[in-house]
Amino acid sequence: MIEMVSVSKVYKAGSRPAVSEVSLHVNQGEFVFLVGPSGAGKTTLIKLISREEMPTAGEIKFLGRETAAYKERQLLLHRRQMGLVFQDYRLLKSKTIYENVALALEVSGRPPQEIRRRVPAALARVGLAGKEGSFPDELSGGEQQRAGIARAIVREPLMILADEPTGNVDRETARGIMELFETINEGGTTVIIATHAWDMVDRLKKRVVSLEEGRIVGDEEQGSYGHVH
Amino acid sequence: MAMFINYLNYCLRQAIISLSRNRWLALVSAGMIAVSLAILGGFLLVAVNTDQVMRNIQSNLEIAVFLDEGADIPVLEEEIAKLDGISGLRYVDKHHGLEEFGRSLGDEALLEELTGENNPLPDAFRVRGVSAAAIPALAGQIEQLPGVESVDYGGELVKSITRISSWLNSFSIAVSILLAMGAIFLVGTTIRLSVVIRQEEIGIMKHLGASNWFIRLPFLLEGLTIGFGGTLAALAALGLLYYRFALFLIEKSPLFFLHPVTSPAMLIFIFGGLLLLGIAMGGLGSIFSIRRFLKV
Ligand SMILES: Nc1ncnc2c1ncn2[C@@H]1O[C@H](COP(=O)(O)OP(=O)(O)O)[C@@H](O)[C@H]1O
Ligand SMILES: [Mg+2]
Repeated sequence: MIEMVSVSKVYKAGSRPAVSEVSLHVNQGEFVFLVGPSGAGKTTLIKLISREEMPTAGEIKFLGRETAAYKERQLLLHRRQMGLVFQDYRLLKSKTIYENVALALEVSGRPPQEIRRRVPAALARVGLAGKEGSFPDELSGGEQQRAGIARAIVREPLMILADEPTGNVDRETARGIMELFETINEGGTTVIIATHAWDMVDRLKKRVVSLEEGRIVGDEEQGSYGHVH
Repeated sequence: MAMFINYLNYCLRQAIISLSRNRWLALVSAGMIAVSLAILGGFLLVAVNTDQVMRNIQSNLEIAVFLDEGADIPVLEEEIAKLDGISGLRYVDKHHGLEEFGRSLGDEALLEELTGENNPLPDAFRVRGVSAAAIPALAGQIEQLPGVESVDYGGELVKSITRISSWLNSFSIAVSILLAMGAIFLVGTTIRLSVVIRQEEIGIMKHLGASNWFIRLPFLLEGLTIGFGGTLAALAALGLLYYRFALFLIEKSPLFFLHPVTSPAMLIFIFGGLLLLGIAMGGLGSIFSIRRFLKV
């Protein structure tokens, strides 16, 4: 699904590459943790996959297609095929939970009846049934992140990219959120999560890709966080 | 197509939300558009009415040819009739001249003293031209003929009305352009504020794969709505005022040539043109801000 071949990303000419000669393959339906210390390049790698950033060297293919060569239209379709989840949720405070989730469908021009059907279903899947009319500030951090996840899955994307999704919640809540990602993955959606939550990584026994200073220093099926620390 | 309607539906709702959030600035911008269009429209209506009055005056314009005592009237009549561009010629002796003058004053008794030997008027010809434009040249030629004492055709009046109205036109266009620029700038400011307020939303929408137009359209619609609202207010006020004015002139006009422009085609042209202009001003303001402040 994703094929990266010696991908490097240099933000400012002359500075150390944020991502350096990374080659990575991710198949459809995989669950991958990206781990590594702060500044290792996890966020950059996620942005390269979502094509918020372009590589300065190397090649990234998504579904066999070179992402750097996208035309405007293909870029939009690329973004609509993935669901992004952020550490700070990025929900709009002026909109209700329902409206926040609906936005993902509205930007892709889905008809109102489809929106009315899909939004409550997505909210039910993340355990937020009944919170449709609440505003983000009225929810706990964990609930806000669940709303963020509902927005990411409401279009039934091929892939979920999550950057430190449990960074702002307590351990107990984090566990629930990770289990949610696991359930989503069981439905066939590829899930890639950048995280510091080593206990979760160790518990879930998924593929673990370790980064250090922009390079891949470990890639294990059913890995654990331990190698980096 | 269905997708397009969904987009439009969404954009319209966003525009309305933005407008209600910035309602005061939006109202001021719409008010500014209203004022500048009302002034432009007012001047336009004055201009078409002056133009019509001028044409009324000119089409009734006669050259009064006053004759010397003892001029050879039949010979002169023949000479004048030979000139190019004459459409009418009649002889008015001093006696009839006085009667006509008395009638135009509305009180014939007033001039009783001046009848007969006391009549100060000379005999005269009244000459009409085929066009108002030909009148000054004709008057010049006739003045050269022997036996003609002087000619008069109200040329000074026409010239000064023309001068005033052309000055008024340039002035009103300048004022309207200034006001319109101010209004466009204000719309731009309103839209800029909307863009700033929605910066975070724009970022999220981009992540979600919103097209550039999907992001821009609400702002464009917001500007167009401001333009439309402002123009509608201006046209309502202007229309009402003009209706009163026209009614007054039709019912109570003191002078035959003071008749308002009531041609529906002309009025639709003016009001429709103003409507398009106002909407365009709103659109221009938002395009300006979208291009400068909305990086998509
Ligand atoms: N937009 C940016 N401009 C310049 N440098 C950046 C930018 N984003 C990240 N970096 C740098 O790239 C490196 C990797 O950062 P990042 O990908 O955020 O790491 P992580 O998410 O693993 O903490 C860091 O040295 C960081 O300072
Ligand atoms: Mg990061």
